[in-house]
Amino acid sequence: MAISKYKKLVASLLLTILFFTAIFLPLFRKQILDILEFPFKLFHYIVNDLKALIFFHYNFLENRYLKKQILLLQKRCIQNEEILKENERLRKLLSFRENAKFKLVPAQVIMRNPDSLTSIIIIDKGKVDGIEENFAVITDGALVGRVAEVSKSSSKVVLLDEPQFCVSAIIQRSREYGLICGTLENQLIMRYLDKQADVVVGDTVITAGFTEFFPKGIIIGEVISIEENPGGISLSCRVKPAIDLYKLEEVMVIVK
Amino acid sequence: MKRFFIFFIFIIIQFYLLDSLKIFNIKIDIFFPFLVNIALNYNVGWLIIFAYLVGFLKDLLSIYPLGVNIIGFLLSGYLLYKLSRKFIINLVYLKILIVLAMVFFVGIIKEFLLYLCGYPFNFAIFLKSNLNLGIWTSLLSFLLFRIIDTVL
Repeated sequence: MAISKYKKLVASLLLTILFFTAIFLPLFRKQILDILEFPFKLFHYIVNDLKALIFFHYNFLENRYLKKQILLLQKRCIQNEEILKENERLRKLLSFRENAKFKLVPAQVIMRNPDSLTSIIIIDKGKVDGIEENFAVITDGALVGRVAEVSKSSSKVVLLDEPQFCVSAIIQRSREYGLICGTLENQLIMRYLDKQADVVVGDTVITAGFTEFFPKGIIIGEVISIEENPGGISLSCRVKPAIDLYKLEEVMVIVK
Repeated sequence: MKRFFIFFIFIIIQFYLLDSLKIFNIKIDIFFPFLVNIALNYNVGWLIIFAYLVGFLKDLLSIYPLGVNIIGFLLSGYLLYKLSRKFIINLVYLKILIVLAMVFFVGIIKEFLLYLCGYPFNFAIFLKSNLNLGIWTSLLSFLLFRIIDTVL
């Protein structure tokens, strides 16, 4: 009887300690992540190499496709350079204020959150690389998310489709404003569009640049459906992200 | 030792391999059937260790202000252990139902704690994501229970 009571006491004490560690975990999470960064990276590279070996035919096809893309983009680059120069000249003529210059820090995705109830990735760049909280993260010119937590040499990035993520956005064609939020379904929802807003399926959505860390004009995605809100005051539209958020490997952090 | 090795394999699968095997954008959580199996077949000590480790790993990669997953997994694991002491659960169908219930229970605890911390609660997203996760995880549990039973 005494032993049973003793066991119960030890069990309840253990449970209390575990609950307390749960409460205080966020305080030392960054330090633990810094320690675990090496094994995370190691497993990431091993698994990636194994995947590359097993799915080598995908890489072959991708390589062929990318070579075609390079040729196409080289042509486009030359055209864009001309447009850029013309734009600069016109800006000077109109005495526009120059856009703030941003620096891009390339980073590799070393880890993903293990479930689909949150949408977070971990990248291999942190405080030492000049990354701070709330910095925007992009890839291929499209928005990926924002930095949520920074430790010494790694950072957590909240992806676009996480419900906690919201960013002001505009429809590129008609310049209608709205707020983009995540839905956890590889789809986003653009809220608070005016009832009379000029939006059609296929419109491109870009960042509005209202917030300090998100420059204007980063592509977010494409409108795939439009719906009227229950009150009938505003419109909402579903937006498909421009990039596949589940296949991210390299990203860029926009550092001011 | 064997249990820890299996757990390690499960971590590798869950963290690195299941990204490429998503069904309707849902990444199945293989830790749920693993914990159900531990709760039904082993003593409470093992259950607490594994429930804590699962919650700890998930919270390590989250951005929440509390260890919500640790609390969720520990509580649900303990309830499950109590349930298994009252009833004999041998049928696979029952185990699968328990997996579904556990997904929802952990989800409810998590959302409740986050709501207390000031996070907004969206019922539609909660229901949709947990239902999807629960259904797909329970369906896959058929296979996972067989594997775990054979190995452990």
